[in-house]
Amino acid sequence: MNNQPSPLNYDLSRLIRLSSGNMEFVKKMMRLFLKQAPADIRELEMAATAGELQKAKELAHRMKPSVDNMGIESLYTVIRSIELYNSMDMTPEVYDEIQLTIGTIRQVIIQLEHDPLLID
Amino acid sequence: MENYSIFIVDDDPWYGELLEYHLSLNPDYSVTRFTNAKSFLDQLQQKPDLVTIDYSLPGTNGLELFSTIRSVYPSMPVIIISGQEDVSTAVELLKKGVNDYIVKDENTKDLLWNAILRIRENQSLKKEVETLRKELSQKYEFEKLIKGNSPAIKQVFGLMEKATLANINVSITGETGTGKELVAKAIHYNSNRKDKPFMAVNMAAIPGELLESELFGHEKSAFTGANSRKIGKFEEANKGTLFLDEIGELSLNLQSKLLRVLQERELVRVGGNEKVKLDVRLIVATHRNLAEEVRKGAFREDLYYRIIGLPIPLPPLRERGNDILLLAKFFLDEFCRENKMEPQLLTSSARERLLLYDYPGNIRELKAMMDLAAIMSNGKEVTAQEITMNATRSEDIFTGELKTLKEYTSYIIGHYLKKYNNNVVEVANKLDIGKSTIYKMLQQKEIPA
Repeated sequence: MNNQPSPLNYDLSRLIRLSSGNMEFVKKMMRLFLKQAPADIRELEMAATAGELQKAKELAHRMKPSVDNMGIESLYTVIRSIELYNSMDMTPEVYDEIQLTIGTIRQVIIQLEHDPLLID
Repeated sequence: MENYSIFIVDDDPWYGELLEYHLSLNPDYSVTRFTNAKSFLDQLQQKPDLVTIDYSLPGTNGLELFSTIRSVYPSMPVIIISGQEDVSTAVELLKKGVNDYIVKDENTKDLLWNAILRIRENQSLKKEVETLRKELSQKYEFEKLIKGNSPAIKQVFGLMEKATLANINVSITGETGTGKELVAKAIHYNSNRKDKPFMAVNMAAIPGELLESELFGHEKSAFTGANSRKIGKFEEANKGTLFLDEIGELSLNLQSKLLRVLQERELVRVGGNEKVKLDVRLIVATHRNLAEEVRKGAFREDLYYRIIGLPIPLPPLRERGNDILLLAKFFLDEFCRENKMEPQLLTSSARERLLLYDYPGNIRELKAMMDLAAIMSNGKEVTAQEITMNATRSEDIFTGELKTLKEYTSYIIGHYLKKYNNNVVEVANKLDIGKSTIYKMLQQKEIPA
């Protein structure tokens, strides 16, 4: 059994750079992400289930800056692919990308909740 | 200083927070955040100094919201911040008047800071220009600019009023010091061209060989020393007013060039080929009798009729009766105020003396007299003693007490000797008299020192 902790799905270096090293602000943004992200993925899940591609694209567009600035690198391409998906209907391809996004953000939420910065 | 208020409209609270943080780093900025268009529009009457809008908002988009803002506040600066780098959308927005289009990426902070700095600089310049324009238009209100109640000056006000209503050329005549340039400025700043430039050129003050390029400009290398293109006064005054002072001094050669420009309503810079379209209102002035100059052949008749437009003759001060006292008191008060002196009274003796003089230098001379009187007085009142008439002018001898022919002759020769550094030969040539006459008068001490 592998007891190695899974690698972090986020990287705060960009946010730290943007805030010029103001760690209080970084913590504030982490908390804000924890508050906002569950609602975002809930909405995304509902859009995917209802086959509402346009709604999913709008949500992806809105989530993109926080995905970028929270350094969730594995979603950089995926979130843009959903945002700019060129189809009228929900396809299995985009549905899978939405599920990947939801899953990754769930992991980020769990990891952030245990981030030493927020625990201190 | 009041804070510079910025409204941020972004439906993503996370990104809105980031923007607010960046902007709040400047303590001069007071930032308010909105997550939807409705809540923002509800507070728009607070008139923020600047608004940033996320391009994609639920139920609307940046362009729609921008149009709504501008329909209420046409000059409110708006920056669109978009998650999408879309050149065609950016171009469309900028064409419609959005102040900047910034993409949400790692450079957003710096780009936004710089954009706001640029906008603030522009806003402050615009405010300054508006204030100056307001001050100018107040400064050039007829009654503030030209003091007087005499029938002669009231007639001038009537003509100036007419000149402001139509785009007709204006010709101002009057003795030196009667305020021709002030009248020209007052007409411009009360006309519908007031927001455009007013340019003035004194024909007598610029050497003839430079005047053509001064008026019409020149291209680089048009002549020796023309190191770069120069825009002439006509072009500088485009859409506004050009005031040509002492038009009577213009050479016949330049008169014909000026006539062509006025006829064609376009010019070609010296040494160039490109035709420049002109829309310039012309106001000219002269102390000469231009009609007389035309009769003598010194001024082109066709140009005369082209520029004469609405003639405004300015009366000499000696014909303005009690305006002399009104102006004297005005200049006295103005001088005292500018020099932080107590206001001074004009005694009745001073008033009598002022009314008796004929002011060959007109208002300019009166002002100089009153400035001097304010200094020479006891600080409370100006008496006749402090009113010093200008004795250096050759005309004074003719307007004062009657003298003998011998006395006039002595005065004139003395004046010329002074002017030509006591060069007897030169003075004799100038006056067309024998130099022995001058030597003899000097010997017999008949010429004043």
